[in-house]
Amino acid sequence: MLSVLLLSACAHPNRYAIFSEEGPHPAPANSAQRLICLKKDDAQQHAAIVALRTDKDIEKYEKSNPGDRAPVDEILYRLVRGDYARAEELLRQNGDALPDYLRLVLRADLASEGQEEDVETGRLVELYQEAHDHPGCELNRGLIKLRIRQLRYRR
Amino acid sequence: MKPIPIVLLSLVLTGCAGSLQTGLASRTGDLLYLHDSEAVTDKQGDATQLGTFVVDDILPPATTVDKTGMFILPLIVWDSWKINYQSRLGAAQVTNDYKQFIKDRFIDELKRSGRLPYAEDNGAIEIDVHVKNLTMSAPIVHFGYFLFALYVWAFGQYTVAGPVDVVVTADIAAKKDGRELLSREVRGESRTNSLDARYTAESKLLTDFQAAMIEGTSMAIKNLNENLVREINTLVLQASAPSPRPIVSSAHPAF
Repeated sequence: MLSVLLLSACAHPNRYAIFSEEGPHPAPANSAQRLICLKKDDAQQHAAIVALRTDKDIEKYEKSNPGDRAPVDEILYRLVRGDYARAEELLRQNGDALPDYLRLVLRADLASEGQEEDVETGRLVELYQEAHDHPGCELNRGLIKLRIRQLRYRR
Repeated sequence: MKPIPIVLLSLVLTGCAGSLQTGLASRTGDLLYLHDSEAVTDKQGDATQLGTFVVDDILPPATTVDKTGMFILPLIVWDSWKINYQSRLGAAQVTNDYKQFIKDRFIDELKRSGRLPYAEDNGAIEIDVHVKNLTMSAPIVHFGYFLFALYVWAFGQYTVAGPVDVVVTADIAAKKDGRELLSREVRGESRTNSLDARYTAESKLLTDFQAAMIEGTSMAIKNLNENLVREINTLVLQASAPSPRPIVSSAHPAF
């Protein structure tokens, strides 16, 4: 009983966590977590999303922001929430609103989340290669290399 | 009393190599890597083109696991053992065509970090590559013990694997107008991390170890391709080096 209570009290880390290049760089909470680094200005614009680390954070965010969100906030929110199909759809519609480096990494990440459909690993590597070559935030290069390891080890 | 632990021990020892091989062979994966070398945008000089690109059968048909050593300590109440294995990645466990992968990634690397332009055909410099060997060290060590003291008994075993060391060797030659500019052996190397005893299930460890063998092979191919292009880039240095000064005889009538 105690362990059930303890488990239910735990906040589970989100698969995706977004952070600012200016702030402290978080270490992945587990081998499956994917980090995205935003340039300083972008992080300031989407500060509320950058703060979302766990499912509890998302619950709080949803309560405090129940209305319409700006397109980029909505894409990032859907990604962090794990609603990949909706995030992909929004990315297709509003991709131009995102800076190139972020659009490229989100395109690759969302393609890899839908991998069980028909995206080949070779195609995913191409998408990540493009994102790697336009990193925006320099830390994204290392983070994208970690994505390749996650593909390889199926995390 | 003694026959029971001996029977158990022999069952464990005889079953291991086969189950490891079956466990590894049931997992597959793609060779893949990202190019992270510095891209050269300002390419100058004669264009390079690929002449021949030959990859020998550098992987065995299927993943193999061989027992390389064994240590057993059989005491009255305590038996312990350590068995060493060496595994080797097989072509059947690589889902993409590894020969085509090496060639395609080499061309990508040449286009990316080569200081000479690349041409599909009609290049002045012809490059021949022969990938001839791949050596892999991928150890697995299995530990176990059996305690049997009349009414008290205990049994435990665990497996550790790695690191995976891979070396790929190739010959490269470059020719221009039939004249040999370069002929050398080039190596690509990589080492992955060990998989330690954090794994609670051996099947999970084997899944990750197969991935580690594929990762090691991918990264050794990446290193090989980068080194091959580095060798080709030396042709730029040769071309830009000042030519030797002509020897002038002091007996020349003009002086």
